[in-house]
Amino acid sequence: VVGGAPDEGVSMRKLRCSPPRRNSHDPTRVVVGVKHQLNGPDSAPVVYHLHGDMDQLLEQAEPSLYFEVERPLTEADLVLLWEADRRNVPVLCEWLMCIVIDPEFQEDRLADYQERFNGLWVPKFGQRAAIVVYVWHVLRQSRLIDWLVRIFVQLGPSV
Amino acid sequence: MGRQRLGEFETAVLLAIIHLRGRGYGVSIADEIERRAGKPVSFGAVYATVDRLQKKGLISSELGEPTPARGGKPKRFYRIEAPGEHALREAQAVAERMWSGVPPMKASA
Repeated sequence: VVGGAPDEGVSMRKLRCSPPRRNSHDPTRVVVGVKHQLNGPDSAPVVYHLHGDMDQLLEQAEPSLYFEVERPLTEADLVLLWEADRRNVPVLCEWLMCIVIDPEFQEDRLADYQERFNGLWVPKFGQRAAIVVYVWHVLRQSRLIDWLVRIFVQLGPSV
Repeated sequence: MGRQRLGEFETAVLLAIIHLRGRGYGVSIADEIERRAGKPVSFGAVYATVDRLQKKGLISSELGEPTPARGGKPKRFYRIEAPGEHALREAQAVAERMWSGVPPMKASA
């Protein structure tokens, strides 16, 4: 199903959309899950031009019918996608990072780390290993790892 | 201002900032060095270096416009300053003097 630009008078229904997710094949488009509600009291009206027999299908559908629509990426989608990615970033790591980063640089550097976490570490290593990588970076950034190595080296000969 | 001696990584960061033509921020600087040097670069190392270079007055930074692609968070873009360019030129001249006269080396098997 391809959702196009609003086309008044073609098909206006009460539809509830799920948050967008990235289209893995085309970064300029997003996929949105749409729940068709025949008489939903709190759903805002959304206009979609639906191809083929989808109009007829919706007429006959159950109120809980769920389908997915692909449409061009908007600025509002970018914010939602960023916020969705934000939920994957380990809060404890960000909190530790806030302690070690100068407040002046916190906002942009945490965003850099989020970009790196979701753009490289998670795809490359998986969610769990990406958290370990993030922790490693926190330790490096805080120089805690240097401190631990120094302690270890100092204790080494006497053990 | 006295002569600024650059370390190897400082030189790499300065060159990456030049290559990125005003669009160099934490992620892109690390990526640029990785792409050109062919080895992974730690974020912490990049940040520690840009902080040091900024304190020395070799680079400056400014926050870009917040963009929806980063949830309204801005990027901090770095720019090379005149003393930074001077220090790079000097580092290049030193390297060229050191390499000058060295006979071509055979590639190892």
